[in-house]
Amino acid sequence: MTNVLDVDGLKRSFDDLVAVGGVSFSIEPGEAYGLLGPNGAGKTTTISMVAGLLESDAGSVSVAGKLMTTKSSDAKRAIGLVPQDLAIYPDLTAAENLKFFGSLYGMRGASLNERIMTVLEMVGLSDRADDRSDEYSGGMKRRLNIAVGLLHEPQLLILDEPTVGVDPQSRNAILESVEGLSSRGMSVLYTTHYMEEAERLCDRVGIIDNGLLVAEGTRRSLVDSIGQDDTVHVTATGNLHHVAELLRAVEGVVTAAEAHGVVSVVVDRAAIRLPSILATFTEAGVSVVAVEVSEPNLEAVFLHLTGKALRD
Amino acid sequence: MRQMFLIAGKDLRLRLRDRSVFIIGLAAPALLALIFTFAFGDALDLSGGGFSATYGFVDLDGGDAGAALADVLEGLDSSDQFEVTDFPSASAAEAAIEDDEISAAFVVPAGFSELVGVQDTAIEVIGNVDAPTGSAIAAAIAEAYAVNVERVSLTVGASVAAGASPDSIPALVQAASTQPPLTHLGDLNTVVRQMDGPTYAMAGMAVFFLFFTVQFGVAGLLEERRFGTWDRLMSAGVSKGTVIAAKAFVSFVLGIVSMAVLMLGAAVGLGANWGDPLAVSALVVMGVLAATAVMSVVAALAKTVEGAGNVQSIIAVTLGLLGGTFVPVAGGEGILAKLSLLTPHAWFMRGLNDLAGGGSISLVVPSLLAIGAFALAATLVALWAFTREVAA
Repeated sequence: MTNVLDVDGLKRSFDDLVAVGGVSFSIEPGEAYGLLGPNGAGKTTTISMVAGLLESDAGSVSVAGKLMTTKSSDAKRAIGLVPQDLAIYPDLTAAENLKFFGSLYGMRGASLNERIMTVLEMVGLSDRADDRSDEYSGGMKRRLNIAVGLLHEPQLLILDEPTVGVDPQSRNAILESVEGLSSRGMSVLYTTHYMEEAERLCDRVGIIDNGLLVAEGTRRSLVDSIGQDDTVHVTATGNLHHVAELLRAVEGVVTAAEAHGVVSVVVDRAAIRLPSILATFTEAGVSVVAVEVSEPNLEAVFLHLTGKALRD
Repeated sequence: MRQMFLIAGKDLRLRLRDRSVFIIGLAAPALLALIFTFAFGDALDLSGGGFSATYGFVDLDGGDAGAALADVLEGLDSSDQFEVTDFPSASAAEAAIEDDEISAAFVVPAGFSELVGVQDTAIEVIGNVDAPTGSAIAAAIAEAYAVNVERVSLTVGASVAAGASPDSIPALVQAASTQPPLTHLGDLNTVVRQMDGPTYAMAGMAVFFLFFTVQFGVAGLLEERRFGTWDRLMSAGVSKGTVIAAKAFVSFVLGIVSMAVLMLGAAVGLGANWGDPLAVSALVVMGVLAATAVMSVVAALAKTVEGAGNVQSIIAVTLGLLGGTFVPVAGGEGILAKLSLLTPHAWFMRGLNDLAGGGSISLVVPSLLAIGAFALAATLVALWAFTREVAA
């Protein structure tokens, strides 16, 4: 079966900065693939080349068997793009936005109107079709943003961090909209730095850091690849960077990293190692506010592979 | 092509929904043109068409020289544009000026005829500050008359000095005074090709605001980036050239509609006579192309909508003022008049002036070529800027 997307050795630099240093992956029909990585990892640059918005320095992108470049109109018709930032006209209604973009894809007449209603229902905006989009809440605008990408029934829907800056309720609505796509046979390329989203939505996940794909596989295979280590999240106040360094020397600790007031510690057996971990905080003069122990997940995989917290 | 029209149609819908295009493209120029017409109509009116003045005449001399000036003024009185009224004294004429009954008064002082050629004397012209054009014309008439009198005096004096007999002096005076005058006051309507005041004001404001109106089209390029829809369009397989062409097309349509409505409105509402429709249409089309090209340069080089708007406004105002859209500057000898020829505005106004006296499109070929050259140069710069942007 032909892959919907084949990315092979993709590279792109901006002056001396290597944004993408040789990324390869593929997506099968109906598969949801997640690119998981922190901000600045190279996700959006990769997406831009996959969507034909940016020329690559090296490597190739093939969508539904067609070579993608910035000038490939055929390959572009096979994708639907949901950019990270909103990409809708605020002075047009939802229906007008959809009608305009649908027309650009050659859709027209009754079939276009029918399709508009279908995608508005999919994203839960059918009752607000005739309202101007600048009257929408932030979450509703995000959902309209997705609806535009879905409109022409692309073989591959590319979503670039679609839930950034969205309230929890809208976020859930967006995730529900995306969840149903694979069952309709649409392939999805989803970038995020939220581990939970990648775990919930994606059949396979590629972990990207510093422009390189450091691991790829199903959630299960990625977790298994780092063993059965637990992760201890310690919320604390004080010099957390220093305490993370001390923790790396503690017996049983695989790695430790600090981000946003939380020290994440990957450890072989949390129940046994927890007392020595907490003692390290005390010795460093750091006050512990809360402790949470979790089983292996993609965040632990990322921490294990890169030595950095996912939301760094 | 279909994608270009779809994008242009969407943009036009957005512009019509945003009512500022009506204000900038129609209401503001029409309102300002009306204000200029009422406030400065006399100053703007270089055509002579519609101009009229009433002059006062005070003859305290009672001699031949005063009577000769009275004859000149009587000639004016017989025209449609001038009316001359006699006053018994200078104070009576001044009172009439105070009451705005007359534009200026000619006062021939007592003993003028006897003193001419013997010692300094002068015809006094009392002007009305509220009628600057009429006063200036009166001063010019008096000066021309004085030159004529001086010529007679010189002729007689030279003849006597050369040995002419005193009996021949009346014949010499007659011969000298019947020479063609050095200054001729002809029919201003037929010798000067100029728009009348209201027409000039509307033409000036229309082309001045044209450069603001077309911004609404090309600024859409920057708005696509601000709305994030540029990437969406590119990912839909729309080429950059198609988007740019659509924006330029919107500018062109808005510019044409604005100019057409204003000029037709002026023709109906103010009685403006624009001249040959084909020639005027050619001027308008060329002017809109030039405006679109100039503003495209800014849109191609600017980074934000706000930045582009500021620069476009500065350019529009500078070119407009320099090009004589508020007050006439072209046609003179000064540096400003020469600089004005670097603007499409000046050539547009010059073209309309040429057409005001009648004639066909051949009259405005120089204007069309000048505006076309301006449009072409700006288009090439804009294309270079867009190409550079695309390459980046």
